[in-house]
Amino acid sequence: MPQPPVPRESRVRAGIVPPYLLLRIAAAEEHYDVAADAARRSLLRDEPMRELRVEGAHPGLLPHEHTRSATTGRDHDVEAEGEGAPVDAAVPEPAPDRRISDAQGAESLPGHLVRTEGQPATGDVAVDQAYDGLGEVWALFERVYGRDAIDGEGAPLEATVHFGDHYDNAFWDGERMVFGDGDGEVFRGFTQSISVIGHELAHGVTEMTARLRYRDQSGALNEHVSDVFGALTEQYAMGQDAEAATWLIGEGIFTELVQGRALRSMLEPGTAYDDDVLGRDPQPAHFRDYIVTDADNGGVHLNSGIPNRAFALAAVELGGFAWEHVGRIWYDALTGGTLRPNDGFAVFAAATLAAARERYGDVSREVAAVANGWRAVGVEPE
Amino acid sequence: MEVEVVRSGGLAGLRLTWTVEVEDQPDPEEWVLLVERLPWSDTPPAPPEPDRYTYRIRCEPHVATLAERQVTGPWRDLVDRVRDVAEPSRRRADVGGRAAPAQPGAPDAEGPRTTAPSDPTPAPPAPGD
Ligand SMILES: [Zn+2]
Repeated sequence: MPQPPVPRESRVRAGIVPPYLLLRIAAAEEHYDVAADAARRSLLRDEPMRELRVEGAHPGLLPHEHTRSATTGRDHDVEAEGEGAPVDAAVPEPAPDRRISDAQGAESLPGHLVRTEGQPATGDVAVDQAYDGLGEVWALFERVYGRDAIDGEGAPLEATVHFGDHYDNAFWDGERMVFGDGDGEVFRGFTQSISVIGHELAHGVTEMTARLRYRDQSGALNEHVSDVFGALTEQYAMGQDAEAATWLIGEGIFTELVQGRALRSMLEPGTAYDDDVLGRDPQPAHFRDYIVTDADNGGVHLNSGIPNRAFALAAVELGGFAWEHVGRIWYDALTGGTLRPNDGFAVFAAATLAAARERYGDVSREVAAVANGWRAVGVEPE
Repeated sequence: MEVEVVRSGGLAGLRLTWTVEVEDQPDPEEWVLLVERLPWSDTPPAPPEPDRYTYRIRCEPHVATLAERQVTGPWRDLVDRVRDVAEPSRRRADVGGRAAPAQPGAPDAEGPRTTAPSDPTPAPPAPGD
């Protein structure tokens, strides 16, 4: 592939656009911002709609949510007991505890605390996007899966924004989500995308539950789980069913100079971008194309395409809201205690099938869809 | 003498490679000093942090793999210097050319790895493992 040089000054200082990129600035604004803005509607305003949605399609959810209390704690297995239980008005509604810090362009953590729970918007776009996005992720985990925050016990959701100088990344450091502003040329700020915020928070959940080792197949599964809950956060926030969902991770993260829609496509891995500078999205969509590499902890961000597609195919086959069926099955598998840190694709696939049987019965559409998903990507559950 | 820095990982999984021919630099002696000062044998494996970068720094006969948070002090000096004088390449040597597809249910179908001997990373287990 030809390697168009990236002018150094533009890499170092945002705002200077290389001439070859100027040639193809798309006139189309795309719909990035529309999607992101819609997803950033305030948590409170969305709540009634969400509960209706959830209640309608999965009657077990709403009572379950209200049985959570100091006595039932975070255990998602209490759902059955909770079915039909009266709502106890004395139990306070759980709420997120968000804490957003600002690294002010330095690579030091945590930075200065600039917005805590309940405080009004700061006017700093990244701070407010992180705050709102964390609210959406918290809502998915708490309202759908009954998990209050990363640890299930309402611990603060910590994030740092404006990390580094034109820093082209976002990560989970074991305690907090960290977001760079991007270089302005390839990447915009990493708080632009709800799916990215959900992805980072989900790394924390995985660390607290299945502890999938961040290397090779278990690492690709760790990445996959983060993509799953990142995508579901966006779908839940926007009320999208599996058909309407984009299944993209990081939509809106690339600048308009990049020929691409997002970082990854869960439904069609390998198709998210095809750009002169970045090259083509290298994700495999089938196990026969599994990439063996030493880089990227054994290709964790590449091979995650394989389980991602299995998940998305199962969701589309079932239709409706993915967070209510496949999302629930995956959450059960992740938190069920059967997975071990070094487990690979086959064992994970089996765990999702077992979770589907447990929740929906041996002969159910859900079990069939999950089995079909794994079969389509060449993974044989064991 | 060639210095190569490969940055992989990151949320986007994009890989960048910077290469510097030390002899072509205006100050080759400084580069040699910098490289010799690096604690090549003192790079304990760090627990990976999800989505953080991994750096692989090579200057024959040395090679070191560092987590982003280990790239401090003289390592950081070197990486900053390399990034200052070299343009990154996005060549993906590992995609397409080195894929060793493992067949589900047939672990022995996994081909031999063409990894540099200096790399201790084991091949990922076939799904039957
Ligand atoms: Zn990740």
